[in-house]
Amino acid sequence: MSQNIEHIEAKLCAYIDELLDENEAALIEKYLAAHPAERQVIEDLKRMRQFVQQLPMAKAPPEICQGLQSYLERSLLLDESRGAQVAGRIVRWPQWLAAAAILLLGIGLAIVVWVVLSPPAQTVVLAPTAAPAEERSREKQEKDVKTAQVEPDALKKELRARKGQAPAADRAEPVVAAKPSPTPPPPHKGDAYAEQMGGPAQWPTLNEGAPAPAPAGNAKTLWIPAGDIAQVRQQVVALLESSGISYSELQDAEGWNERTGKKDVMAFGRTTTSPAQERGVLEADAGKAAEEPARSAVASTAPSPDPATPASIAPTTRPLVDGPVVILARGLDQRQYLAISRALGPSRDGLLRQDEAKERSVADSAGRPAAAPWALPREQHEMSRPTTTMPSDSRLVDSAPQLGGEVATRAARESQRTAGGSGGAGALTDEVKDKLTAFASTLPTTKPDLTEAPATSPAGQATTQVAQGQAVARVDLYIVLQAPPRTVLTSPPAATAPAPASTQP
Amino acid sequence: MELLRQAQQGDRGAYGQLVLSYQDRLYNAVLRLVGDPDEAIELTQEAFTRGLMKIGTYRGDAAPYTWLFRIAVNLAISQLRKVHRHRVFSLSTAAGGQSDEGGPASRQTDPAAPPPDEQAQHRECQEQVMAALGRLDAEYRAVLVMRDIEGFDYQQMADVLGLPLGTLKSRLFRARLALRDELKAYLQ
Repeated sequence: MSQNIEHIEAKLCAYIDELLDENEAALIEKYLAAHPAERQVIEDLKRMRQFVQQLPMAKAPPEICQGLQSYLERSLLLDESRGAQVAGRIVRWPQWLAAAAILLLGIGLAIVVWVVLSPPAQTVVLAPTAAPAEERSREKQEKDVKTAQVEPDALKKELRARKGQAPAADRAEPVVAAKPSPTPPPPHKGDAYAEQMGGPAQWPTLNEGAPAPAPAGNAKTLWIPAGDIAQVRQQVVALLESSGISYSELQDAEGWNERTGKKDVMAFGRTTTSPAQERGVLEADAGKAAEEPARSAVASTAPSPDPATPASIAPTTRPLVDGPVVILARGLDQRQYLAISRALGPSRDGLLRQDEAKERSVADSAGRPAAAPWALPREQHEMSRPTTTMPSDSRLVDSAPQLGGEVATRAARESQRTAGGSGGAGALTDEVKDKLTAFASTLPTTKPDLTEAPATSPAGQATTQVAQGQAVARVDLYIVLQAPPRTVLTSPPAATAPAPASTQP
Repeated sequence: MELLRQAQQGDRGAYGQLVLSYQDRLYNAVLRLVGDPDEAIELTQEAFTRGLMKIGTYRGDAAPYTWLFRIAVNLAISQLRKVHRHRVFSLSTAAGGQSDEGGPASRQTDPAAPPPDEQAQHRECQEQVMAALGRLDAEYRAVLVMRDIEGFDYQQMADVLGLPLGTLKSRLFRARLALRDELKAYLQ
């Protein structure tokens, strides 16, 4: 409807403007002739059109041109001023650039400071400094192997503790990554060990089920690179057992790293080997060794003068484990700790070779495993009780060769005492007693006076002075047996330790 | 067209010639739209100024005056919508103020001039038409000025106002009806 009206209005508009063709105009005129009212309206609209068309033509005043001219001039000036504004605009980008440069410099400086000041991974050479020339050459080769990355803070604290507590032990004490832990070690405390060994840091809960550590003790680590882990482990166990030191062994039981979900050679399960079990293994090994008459004869009569020969260091026990082994000795006083650390220090291999023949001879003759070559004297056993003060007459044999000689003598004495007391299968024969007496006579009888200033032992081991009545903190010692990581021993160490057998007639 | 092309290329002299050529016609149209001479002057200047600013957008699809008139009409309609009041056109501007016709001298020198009573009647008629035109809506005023004063055809008006052709014709018819209603008393 509205479109129809609009169409009619459009036609009428065109009729008023006389823009319709004749036919359409005729139709409209015919309609208007029949409707006079509409015709009057159309006439009025035509008059309106004429009225508007008759309006006079206004002439533009000159203000328009003047205003436009002034506008053009103003626009020219504004263009110039705009150019001036652009030229004088404060440019921000250099400021942002300077700020970014300062920020980058700050970050770079922080990185440099962090890199410089952060202690790098240190390599600790497990060797005493005061050593004879022949030991030095051997130890130099061992340095290539016996390296460990020690946690820097722990090392600093350990060095600081050494300086403050036992200055004499600085040179003689081998090893050791010390980690002061006034509280029991956390479940993943062994991460440092794993890092030292180049493996992933996944350690089990070392203290689960284990006896609580000494309240004021420290946790220290003695890392022993060993080619034959089983043999060294047996020797360490014998040392601890003979010293009356309680220990627990951590070995690769599961080998499954729950955290990484992978087979992990550094993942340690916890197994505890009782001294009785260990003794059984040793006895079994001793029995196997006894089945070799030729070797036993050689060992009982003339120990190999060259301890580096493969026969003299051939493993006497079956390999118990393939991977790293951690033995945890708890509650060590300082003397025990120093003695063990020296015994298991760089000259350990030499001691093994040196005393192996003696030990083997004694063991063969006594029918029982001999005491460990590093066994502590009886006084040390007594001092292993959880006391904080040392007896005034306590003497620590911290020189490993001397310790070995003394222990060999004591082992023979102990064997005799045990055989005589029990009268069982382990009773010594007269021949064995003679051999032991002859052997003991060849051993050095002098012991270093440990109460004096530090001296250098014939084997190059520094002695340690232990002050009387000195307060000793208990130490939890982690003995880690691990093949040297990432290093290859190109040549076997030339063990030149003085062999007691050489003095034997 | 050529002047506008030259002005597009930066020749301000050419644009000045365009201004001189179209200022009277444009001013007259704006004056009939807004009714106020001063406001018509400002709007005319603004239309020329905007034409100069937007001269780069001219594509040549319309005559230069149509292009300028579109700018002026849009400015005028915006101004009228902004004021929101019906303009009371002054009677002095009904004849255009500076119109070429109606002057005493011309009347005296023109022997074909109508007699004074007819001239007075005609002047009165113009004033009434201007007053009635001022009372119309801006859209009606625009189509009346464009068609009856400027003489645009329907298509040009549709292009300028952006309306369909039929709608434009219908709006023009209704604008004339509205003007007739405003002048009914005078006509009777």
